[in-house]
Amino acid sequence: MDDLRLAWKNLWRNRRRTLITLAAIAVSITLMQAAHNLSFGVYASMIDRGVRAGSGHLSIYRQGYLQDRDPKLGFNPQNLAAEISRLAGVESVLPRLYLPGLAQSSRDSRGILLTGTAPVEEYRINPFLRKLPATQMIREGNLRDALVGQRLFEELKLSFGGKFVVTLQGQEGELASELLRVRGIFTSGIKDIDRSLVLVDQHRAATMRGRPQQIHELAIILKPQADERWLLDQIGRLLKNHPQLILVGWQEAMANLADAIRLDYAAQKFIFLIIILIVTIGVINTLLMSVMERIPEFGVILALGAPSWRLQRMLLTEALLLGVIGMLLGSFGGSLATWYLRIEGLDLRYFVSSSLEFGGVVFDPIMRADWDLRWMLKMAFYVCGLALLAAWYPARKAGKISPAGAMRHY
Amino acid sequence: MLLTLALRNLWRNRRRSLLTLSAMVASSALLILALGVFSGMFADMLASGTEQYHGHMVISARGYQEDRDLFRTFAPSDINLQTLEARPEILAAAPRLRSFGLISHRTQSEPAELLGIDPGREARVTTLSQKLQKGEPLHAEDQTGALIGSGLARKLGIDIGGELVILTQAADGSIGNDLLTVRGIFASGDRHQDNALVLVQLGWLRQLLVLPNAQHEIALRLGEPLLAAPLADTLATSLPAGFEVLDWGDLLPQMRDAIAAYDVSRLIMVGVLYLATGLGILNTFFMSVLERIREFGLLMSLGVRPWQIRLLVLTEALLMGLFSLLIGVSSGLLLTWYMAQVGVDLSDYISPISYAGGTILPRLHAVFIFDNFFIPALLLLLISLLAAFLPANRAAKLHPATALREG
Repeated sequence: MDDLRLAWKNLWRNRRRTLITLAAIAVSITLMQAAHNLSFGVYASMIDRGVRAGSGHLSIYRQGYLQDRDPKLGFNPQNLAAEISRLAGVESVLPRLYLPGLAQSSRDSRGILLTGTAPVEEYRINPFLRKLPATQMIREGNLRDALVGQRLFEELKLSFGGKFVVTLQGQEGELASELLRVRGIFTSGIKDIDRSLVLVDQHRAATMRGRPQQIHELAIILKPQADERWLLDQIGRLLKNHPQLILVGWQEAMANLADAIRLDYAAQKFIFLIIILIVTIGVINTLLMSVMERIPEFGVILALGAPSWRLQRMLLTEALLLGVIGMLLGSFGGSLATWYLRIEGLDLRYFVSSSLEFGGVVFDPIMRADWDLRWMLKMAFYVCGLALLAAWYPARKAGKISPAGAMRHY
Repeated sequence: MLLTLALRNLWRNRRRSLLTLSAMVASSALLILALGVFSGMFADMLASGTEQYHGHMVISARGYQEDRDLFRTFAPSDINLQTLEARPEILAAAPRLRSFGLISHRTQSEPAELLGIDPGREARVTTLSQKLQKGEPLHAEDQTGALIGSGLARKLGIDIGGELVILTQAADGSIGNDLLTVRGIFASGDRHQDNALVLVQLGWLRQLLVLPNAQHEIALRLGEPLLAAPLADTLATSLPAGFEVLDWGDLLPQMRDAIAAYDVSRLIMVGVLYLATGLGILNTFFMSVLERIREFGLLMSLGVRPWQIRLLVLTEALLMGLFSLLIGVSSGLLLTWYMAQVGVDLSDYISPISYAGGTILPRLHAVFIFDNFFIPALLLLLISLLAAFLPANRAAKLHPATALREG
């Protein structure tokens, strides 16, 4: 306790220096926490929109399908979809078919990805369809309704209600053509999708393929608070009867998105590393200065009979105090910034157009933070520990002082 | 005299100066390295859109790039390629015809883009034929040869010498149907190119589409891609009516935005790092001023003017800034050079990432860009002067008598 009081008093003897050092520690913690929480929020929203438009938090495929997405590798889900959607925490289960093909209008032809789905569920879940009027959404059943990407619609010079022909390969390799009718158009902001997606009812797509019961993917969308591990277990149990099927997480099914996030976060970590390095050097510098200018004083303390480890302990306590106060102030600032960035967000619309694509999802130009308390705590304690570590060299120096020489110092 | 004094003052407390210097050097050198690597990613991304596919600039009939309408063609005689290449800014020009169709091999079929090229000219504009994983580039004599992307080849289960069946819609409304032989397989890392692009002979595609003597666009390679926009404007005036010249920024607006956004985030990054560094410098200079109060008092009583004192402290800061700039920028250069020459291959850990309509390759590879050195260097000087400003002010405002007594 005495150590603590002494350290506290020592710190405030040179108020300005302590305040500047504290500012350096606190500001860097604030910045890192705010930057991390901002990315955390942005990634979470990217993942959420990505999985809803894409293959779900979890998805089920026939073994080998993910490697080349060979349309031959379909499966009959039987009542798997109904069983999974009964599990707690599952928001929706979407069956999908993906069939590469050629779309022809009277004017032109384009390569497309004919996607079969369950229209009502897709409309509820898929964020790309949020702005689509309900009257434009394709209807349930084996109908000719098709939802067409906006670029494709323009390039083929289609019209609402207009007809176009889709040609694709059946299971045995024969080419089959089918007439479809434009029910609506949608814009995702992702070039590849707007240029190539044609959405139809799953039964129509399966029939065109020549395997009426088959699908390629079951996309499982989870509720926000879902217990993913428990669900993995449960769904794995359900899949016991289907040895040819595999369950994968979105990181595997949408490697593009997962890798984009990993790369982005790695870049951020590098910047964090530099900041921490600079702060550490700063703390060493301050403590060293404060040791150097107190050498005569230390000489007196030692001459009065204090062992050198007490001196070192006092210095380490000073560093610890600096670290703890800096950590508290910094975390307070970081929380404040996170709170603001969560409510108000960071608006980038001035710099980027509204549809910047990253890792296969549209990047929301208003970035919003989210709380990652565990990381915030970890970072705060980490910096605090670094302050202690930084004190090691100055403390060692102080411990080696010989009393007589020190008192002669000035 | 001022300079010597400042130097000596810095050297008096060597350890402190060196520690502060090391923080400044570390921040600037690592920052320069990071910026070089980030710029490298953007360079890869830009190349995936331009040098691998579009070219830096494209001339086409007005509106063609909007909808890629099969019928918006023009004749080779409308625009003379030699005249274009005579301009010093333009390195090469290549004519192209484009179509979309279904490509089949045995029982597998995939949709793809057919790009009809003049192999000799195309190789000077875009680099796809240099990215061959297998096989060889197209030759002028071999009219039914084709180069296909690696992803497409894998999906179709086809190899060099394999036969492709092409199905598309011709200009006269008939179904265009013909055979091609795979001569080469390219791997560029770009999703679209590797999975859905087939390079074929211009003459062959003209026949298939029943579009004799027609082309859709002329792709250009420039010496200075970042100066494409002004050149596009001047070039547009020299062309016949009904044509448009689009630079890569018009063709890939997302990418232009992404690069503009990067320019902003670069400034933010530099700002954040230097804020931390600046606080360190501020601390050091306050300390060094405070412990010399008595000395300043003595100098002032000997007739040194306050502005001279201020100048002295600022010169010390400037010297620190200059030293760290010198060491920081040169070690930054060295690190960037290393990352440019050697780099780090990440393809075992991550796949290519699509970003803003282009592709970021899974590698860390730095490029040299002047701003990446200039901005950190300039700001380093500014921040050291700024951080020394308060301490300098304080030193200049001292009253000689009190200062002497204080020490």
